[in-house]
Amino acid sequence: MSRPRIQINLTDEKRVYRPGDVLVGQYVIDNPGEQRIHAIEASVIWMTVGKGEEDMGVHFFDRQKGPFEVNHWNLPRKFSTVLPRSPFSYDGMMIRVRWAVRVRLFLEAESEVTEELFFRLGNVDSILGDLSG
Amino acid sequence: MRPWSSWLLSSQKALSRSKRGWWAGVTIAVLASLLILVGVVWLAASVTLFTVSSGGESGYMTVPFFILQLLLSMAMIGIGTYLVMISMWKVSASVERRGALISQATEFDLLKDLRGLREQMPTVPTNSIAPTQGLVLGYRLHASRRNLWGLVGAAIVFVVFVGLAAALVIVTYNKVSLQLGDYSSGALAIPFLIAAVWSFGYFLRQLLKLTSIGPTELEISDYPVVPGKEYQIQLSQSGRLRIQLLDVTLVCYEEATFKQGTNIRTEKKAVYSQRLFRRRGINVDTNSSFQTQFDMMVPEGAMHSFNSDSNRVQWKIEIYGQAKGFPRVRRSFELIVMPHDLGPEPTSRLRSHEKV
Repeated sequence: MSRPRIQINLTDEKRVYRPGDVLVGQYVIDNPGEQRIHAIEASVIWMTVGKGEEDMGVHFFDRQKGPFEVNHWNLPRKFSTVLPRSPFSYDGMMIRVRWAVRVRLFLEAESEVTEELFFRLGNVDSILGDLSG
Repeated sequence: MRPWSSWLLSSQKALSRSKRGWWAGVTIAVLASLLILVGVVWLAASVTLFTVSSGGESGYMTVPFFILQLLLSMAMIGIGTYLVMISMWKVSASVERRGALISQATEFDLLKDLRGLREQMPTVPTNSIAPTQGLVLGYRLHASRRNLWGLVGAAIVFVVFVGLAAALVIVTYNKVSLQLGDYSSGALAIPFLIAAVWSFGYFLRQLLKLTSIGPTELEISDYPVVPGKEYQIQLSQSGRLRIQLLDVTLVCYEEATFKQGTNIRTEKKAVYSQRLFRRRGINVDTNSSFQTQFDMMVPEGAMHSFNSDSNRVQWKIEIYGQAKGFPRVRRSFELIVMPHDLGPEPTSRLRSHEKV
C-alpha cells in the first residue's frame, strides 16, 4: 500500500533567518493513495539533538481535523509565523539546537507520516576557537 | 620581656596585620570544627550510654542527667556551627556589602529588567543570584554558592561518621568494662573511626579552602552581556594573605543530562575559554584589597546562554586563586549572554501565530 508523501517549501527559499523574520511556507500532500487522513498537524519547532535528552519547544502549531475530501488533499496549505528571539540554531560539541517545520499526518490504523524541513535561526558560529585561552 | 600574646599582636615584623587576621580566621575555623567534633562525640556518647543503661539493670544515667548532657552537647554543636557561619560570612561578603546589608540599603535589582526579557526568551536563563548595583562599574556579579553547599555536605558526612564511630566506641567500651567477651562492635568501630578522622579532615580542609582567600568581587560595565561587545571588568580581591596566583578566565560550558541505564547522568564540557587576567604574587592586606580592571568580550557570533530541561549552554567568569599551603580555590560567576541579534521589538508577535 502506498503511503502519502509530504512536501514542505519555504516561500523565500532561504534557510537562515533572523529573529523577527516572517517564516512563510506551504506544504502539499502527494500520493495519498487509498488511506484516509484523520488530521494534519503543522508546527514550527526547535529541538535539541546530541548527548542530552531531546528537548523541544513549539513556536507555532496548527491542527486540521479530517476527514478530508480526496480532491482537497493536493491543495497547498500555507503557514506563516514571526520567528522568536531565541533559541538560536547552534552546532556545539555536545548540544545542537535545530529549528524545523514539521508536518505530521495522522492516518487510519493509527499510523503517521512525518516530514521535517530544517532551517536556521540566527547566525551563531559553530566553533569559536581553541581552548588555549 | 613582653608576654607572648602582646608580641604576637603588636610585632609588625614578626607577624603582619594581614597575617594576624588570617591566623585569627584559621583559629576560629579550627576552634569551631573542634567544638562541633566534641559536641557530636558527646551527643553520640550520651545517647548511646543512655540507650545502653536504660536497656540494662545498671541505670547509671538518669533522665535529667541525660537531658543535661544532651543540651550541653547540642549547645557545643550550635556554637561551633555559629562560629563557622560567622567565619563564612566574613570571607564571603566584603565590608561594604556587609554594611550595606546591615543598614538595609536598597540594592538595585536587575531581575526586574531581566524578567521582561525572560518572557520574550524563555530559553535564555536569568542569574540564579541576581546582580546588584556596582560600586565602581555598573553591575556587581555574585559568585556561585556551590562551594558553600560542598561545605554543608562535608559537615553532614562528618557529623554522621563521627556520631556513628563515637557510638560504636562507647558500646565497645561498655562491653569491655562488663567483660562480655563480644568485641564485634569494636571491629565495626575501626572503619567508622577511620572514616570519622577522614571526614573531620575533609570538613576542615573545605572550611579552610573557603576561608583561605578572602571575598572576590566582580563588577561589569554593562549587563546582560551581548556577544561582540567589549565590557570592562573590575576585580576586587580582599583577604588576609599573599596570593601566589590569581587567574581569571571566561569559559563557555555545554551541559547535557541523559539517561544511562537506570541512572541519570550529567556531562559538562568546556567548549570555549579565554584568559582575561593572570598575576602571580599578590599581597592582599585587610585594609586594602587588590583591585584591577581588564576588558572582556564574548566572541561575536557566540551562542547565547541557553537552558532547556536537559541541555544548557552556560557562560561563566571563573577565578582560580592559589594561596600558600592551601588547595586551589575556584570561584565562579555566572554570566548571562544574550543573543547577539534580537531583531525588531516584538510588538505584534502574537498575531503572527495565526495561520494564513
